[in-house]
Amino acid sequence: MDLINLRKRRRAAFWGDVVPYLGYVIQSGVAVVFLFLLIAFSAWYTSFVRHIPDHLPTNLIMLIVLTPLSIYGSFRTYLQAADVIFLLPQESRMTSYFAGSFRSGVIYKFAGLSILFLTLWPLYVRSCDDPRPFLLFWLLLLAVKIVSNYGAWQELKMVFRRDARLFRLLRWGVIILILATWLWQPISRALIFASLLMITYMLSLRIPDKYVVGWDTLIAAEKAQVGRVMLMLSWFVDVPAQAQRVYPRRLLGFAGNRLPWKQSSAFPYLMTKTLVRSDILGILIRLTILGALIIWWMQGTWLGTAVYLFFVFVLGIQVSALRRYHAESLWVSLYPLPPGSQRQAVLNIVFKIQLVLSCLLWLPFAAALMGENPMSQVPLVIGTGIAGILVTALYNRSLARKWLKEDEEQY
Amino acid sequence: MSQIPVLEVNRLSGGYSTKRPVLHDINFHVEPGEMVGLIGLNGAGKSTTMKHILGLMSPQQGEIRVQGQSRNEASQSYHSSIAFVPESPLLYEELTVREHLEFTARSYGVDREQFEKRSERLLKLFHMTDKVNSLSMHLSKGMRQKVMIMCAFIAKPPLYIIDEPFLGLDPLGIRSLLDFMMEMKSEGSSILLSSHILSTIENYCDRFIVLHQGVIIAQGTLAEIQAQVGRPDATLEQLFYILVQGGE
Repeated sequence: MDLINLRKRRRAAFWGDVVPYLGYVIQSGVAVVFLFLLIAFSAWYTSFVRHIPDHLPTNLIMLIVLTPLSIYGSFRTYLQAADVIFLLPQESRMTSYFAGSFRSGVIYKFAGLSILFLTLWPLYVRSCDDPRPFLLFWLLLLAVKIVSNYGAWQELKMVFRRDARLFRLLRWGVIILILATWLWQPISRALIFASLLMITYMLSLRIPDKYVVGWDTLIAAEKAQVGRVMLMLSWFVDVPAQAQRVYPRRLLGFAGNRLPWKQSSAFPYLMTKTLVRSDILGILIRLTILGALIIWWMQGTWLGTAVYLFFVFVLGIQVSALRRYHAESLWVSLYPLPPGSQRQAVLNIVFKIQLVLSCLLWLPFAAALMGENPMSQVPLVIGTGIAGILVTALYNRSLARKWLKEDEEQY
Repeated sequence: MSQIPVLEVNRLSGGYSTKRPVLHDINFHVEPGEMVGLIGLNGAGKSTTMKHILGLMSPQQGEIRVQGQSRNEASQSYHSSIAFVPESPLLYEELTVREHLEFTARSYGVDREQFEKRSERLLKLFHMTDKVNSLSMHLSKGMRQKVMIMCAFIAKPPLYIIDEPFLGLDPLGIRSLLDFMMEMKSEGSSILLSSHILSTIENYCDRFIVLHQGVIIAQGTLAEIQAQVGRPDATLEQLFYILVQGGE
């Protein structure tokens, strides 16, 4: 069996399914909003780089911004559940199949990291007292990316999930240490330290027990990747429901338990449990933190208001992806619940979550009232808060109309 | 006054295409407190019949009534009268065992006190007490099937539609299920059960419906089918072979 071609065929089939949706993504209003914000950000960033404030913690900013993309390592293997049966006899030859996955994993993610690095570079050279040479910095990032992805790949092969979790923590620690040393220590010392740390880390990866091919883990990881792509597409266009990754999140297991015990709360119960264990919650938390940081930075300005409203809107889109969950479940058709109750349950959850998050995001904007001349900021701060609530209400109304129409067309 | 059958299937024809119906003029009924075995080869139309009863497929001809009502007349009340156990467990990956039971109980309007009582009993009966807080993705196939069965029983409706319930169950699970079905039956619930394990259901079902190529070729008690085939001492398995293979 030609395994290299098999992977190529599967990749082509996957993108053949996804590409037709991209047209709708570009046509959608959200894409225009993204473009508008990109232009607004570029204008703001250019002006910021021209007038960099004194004592800007540049090295810390570099570390915070570069670390997530340096650490993040994922792979598209295009494996399917049936491969455990049909490709198992080829296990010893699967290296050729996976080589493409590893290569693409490094190339595309390093391309993203490089774009981020190039964007940050003007800020870094202008504000850092002792900047590192551009090429050396870029090569170090490449080395870090390869080591991180290699580590992430080895974690997928580990027999025990506990080992994989420990090694993931170790990888994060190693990368943060290397980047921090590189940013704060003299170049020669940092390079020696980074090399020694990388070698030790790579050697330590030999310790845990590993499968030749971690079939179950790889198949689950691939399923989660496809689920994520479809989840992102579902923000713009209707896509077939895909199984999404589920996170146990035991500490949040209580969510939904206190809903009133009545028939009409069945769907709110199911959708609340689903939300807390889905990818959506993680995305919401990350976006809220990112939004809060940016809004805090731009507090009390018109651009800050625009960014705030953008984040409120995007958070609404994220929660509304909950609608895709269980839409095709057998039990939704069989259980004796009034038609449309799932739609109503999701609409209520979207409204509540978006409202709470819009209030949370408003707080860093309202921090402008703590600065100089607070009275002059009052109208903008209050107006921004009201606009956030309005965006939430209007978005919910438009969702209600859209989903009702979809349901009516379906039945 | 005679009792209304819990389930009435009258002159049902249906399938995935109007040109090639899978079911042809199916007639049968299930009385309160009765357990009826639906048997047939793979592709005979058992699951299609069940899908029609559940309202997942619309009949091309004929009608189905549960507790005297059709699905079009009163959809919500029709569905509250039925609980279904599918052949392959269909669980929400995001829910634990207890949460599945709770979602079902809320959906069927079971009150909290009843829910607590029934869930405790079912968890014990199916040896699932220590798995109550496990997410369904961490359960074995047999355990997933037990969750499906417990969900159906927690609702306690008048009619159970159970498709191949023994698949994947361990011997203790099979025994618990059979015992519990008998208990439900004695309390007045009706069960329409499809299974290939004829030797087991022979001892538990009151009547049998033999489906072959979408047509009912025999139905009645074991004695009635024995009389129809002309083999008074034959087991259900022997009768089934004779009926579907023309006595070969």
